[in-house]
Amino acid sequence: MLALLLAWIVVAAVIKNSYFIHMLFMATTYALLACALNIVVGITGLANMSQAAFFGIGAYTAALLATKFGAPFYINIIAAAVVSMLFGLAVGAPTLRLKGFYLSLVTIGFAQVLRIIEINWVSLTNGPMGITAIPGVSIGRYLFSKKAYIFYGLVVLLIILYVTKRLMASKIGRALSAIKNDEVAAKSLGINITYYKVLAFAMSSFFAGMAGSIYAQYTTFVSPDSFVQNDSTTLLCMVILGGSGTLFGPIFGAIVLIFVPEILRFADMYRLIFVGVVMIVGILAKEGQWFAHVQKFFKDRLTSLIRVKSGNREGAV
Amino acid sequence: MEELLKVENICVSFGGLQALSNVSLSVDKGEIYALIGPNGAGKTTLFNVISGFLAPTSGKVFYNGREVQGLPPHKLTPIGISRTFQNIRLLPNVTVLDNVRLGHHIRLKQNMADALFNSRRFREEEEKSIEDAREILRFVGMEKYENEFARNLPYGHQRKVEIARTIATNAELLLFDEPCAGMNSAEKVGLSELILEINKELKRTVFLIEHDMRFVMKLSEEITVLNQGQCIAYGTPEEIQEDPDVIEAYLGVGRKGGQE
Ligand SMILES: Nc1ncnc2c1ncn2[C@@H]1O[C@H](COP(=O)(O)OP(=O)(O)OP(=O)(O)O)[C@@H](O)[C@H]1O
Ligand SMILES: [Mg+2]
Repeated sequence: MLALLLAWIVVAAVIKNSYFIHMLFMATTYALLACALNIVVGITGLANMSQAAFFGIGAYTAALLATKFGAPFYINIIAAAVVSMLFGLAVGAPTLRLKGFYLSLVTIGFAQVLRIIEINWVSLTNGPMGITAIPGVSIGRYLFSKKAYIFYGLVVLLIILYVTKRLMASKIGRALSAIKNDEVAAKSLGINITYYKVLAFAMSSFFAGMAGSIYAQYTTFVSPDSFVQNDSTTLLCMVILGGSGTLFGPIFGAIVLIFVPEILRFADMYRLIFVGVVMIVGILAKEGQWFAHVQKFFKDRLTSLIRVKSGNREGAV
Repeated sequence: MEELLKVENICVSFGGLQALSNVSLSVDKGEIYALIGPNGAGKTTLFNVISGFLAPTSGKVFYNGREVQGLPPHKLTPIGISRTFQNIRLLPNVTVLDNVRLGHHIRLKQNMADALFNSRRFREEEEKSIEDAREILRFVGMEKYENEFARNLPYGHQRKVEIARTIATNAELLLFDEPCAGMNSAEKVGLSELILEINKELKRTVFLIEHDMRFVMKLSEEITVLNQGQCIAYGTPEEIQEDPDVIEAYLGVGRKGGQE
C-alpha cells in the first residue's frame, strides 16, 4: 500500500502533460469519495446512492464561499465538509430506518431533489450556468498549480484512511460492522442502530464535502452537471469492485474505474461494455476481495524474497 | 425473594393471530426460571417483548420495579437485560473474542476523539476489554478458540460464545432462548452445568426457554408453561411434572420431540 502511495506521489511529481495531471487529480478525488462512501457502504452495509450529491454540496459551498467572500481554502474545505455533513444528517436521520433498496431509492430521490435545487435556485447557484471563476487555492502569494491539487487531495485521502483505520479499531467501528453483519444481534447488545447509521452517513458526507471543496477550487467551475446520478453509481461500483469494507480497496476500485474507461477511449461508446465486463469479472473474481489477494500475493513475494536473501546469509530458508 | 422481572397481562397479536394472551409471571433475583411449552406457544414472542424487540399490544413489563415495556433494546441492555437467540446470532466473520467484546459496547466510555488520537483512556479500555473477554471465554471454556472465526465453530461452541457475549454485557437478567437446542446429551449436561455456574458464581438471574423437560427439571426453580399463547401452569418442577394439563399439552409433544 505504501508502494502505491509512493508511486502515486512520484508520478504526480514527474508528470508534465496536463491531461495526465487532470486524470490523476480525478483519480485522487474519486479515491477520496470512494473511501468516504466505503464508511457507509462497505463498513456499515448501507446502500447509499447519493455520494455525488454530497460531493456537489461541498463543491457548491466552497464555490460560494470562495467567490462571494474570498474565503481561504481551509475555511472552504471545513465549511464544505460541515454543510455536506448537515445535509447527510438531514437525509440520514429520518430515512436510515429504511432497509435495503428502499434506502437506495430514498438516496436517489434526495440526489434528484438536490439537482433540481441546483438548477432552479438561480439567485444562489446561478442555475444551469453554474458558478464560474472560482478562485483557486493560494497560500500567501503562492497560487496552487493544477498539480498541487493532487497533493492536496492525497493529504485529505490520508486523513480519511487514518480516521477510518482508527475508527475500525474502536467501539464505533465494531458497532458499524456489527450492524452490517447482523442488525438484530447488534441491537440485542445495546447498540443504537439508528444512531450509528446516521453517524456513518454523517462521516461519509463530511469527507465527500471536503472532496467537493478541493474539486471546486481545482476546476474553478461547478454546475449541476458536474454531480449526477451516474457519478454516484460509479462511486458505488468503485467501492464494491475494490472490495467493500476493506481499508484500501476503494482506492483500487477508483483507479480501475477512472483509468480503464480512459484507456479504452478509442473504442468510443463500446468502452462502457468493457467497463461493465471489468465490473462483473472483478466482483466475481473474489467476491470483491480481489484486492486483498493481490496485496497478499505481492506481500508473499516480498517476504519470500527477503527470506531468501537472509537465508543465504544464515544458511536457512 | 426480591422480584427482578415482572410481566403483567401481556397480550401480543400479529394481525389475526393471538400469539400471547394475558401472560403474567414474575422472576426473582438470583433464580433460574424456565418457560416451557410446545412449538408456537409464544415463548420466543414473550422474550421478544421482554428484550424490547417487540412492543406488546397491551400489558406491562417491570424490570427492577421500573415500567419498561416498549423500550428499545438499546435502552434495555444498559439497565440489565441481555438475551440469546433461538437461531444463534453470532457475527460469523468476526473472531470469537471480538464477538464477546461486542458485549462490552454499552460500557465502553471511549468516544471518537479517544479513538482517533489513541488516547490513554482508549488504550486502557481496549486492553481491559480484551482481558475481560478472555476471562469470560475461560469461564465458558472457549478460551482455546478466541481467534477462530465464529462461523468455524461447531454449533455447541457457538452457543457458549453467544452466552459469553450476554455475560459480557454485565446484564443481571440473562434470557436464553432454547440454549441446548440441537445439542447431544453430553453437551446438554455440560451446558446445564455452565448455566448453574453462571447463576451461582456470577450471580446472574437466568430466564430460559427450553423444550427438553429433563433439562429444565434439573435446572430451574420455577416454571411457567405456555400453550397457544396462554399460561396453563406455573409451579416448581415437581408440580409441573404432575400437572394433568401440562402432561396433555406438553409432555406428549416433548417425548416425541425427544425421539428426534
Ligand atoms: N413477527 C411475527 N409475525 C407474525 N407471526 C409471528 C411473529 N412471530 C411469531 N409469530 C407467530 O406467533 C406464534 C408464536 O411464535 P413463537 O416464536 O413465540 O413460538 P415459540 O413458543 O417460541 O415456538 P418454538 O418452540 O417453535 O420456538 C407462532 O404461531 C408464530 O408463527
Ligand atoms: Mg421460539
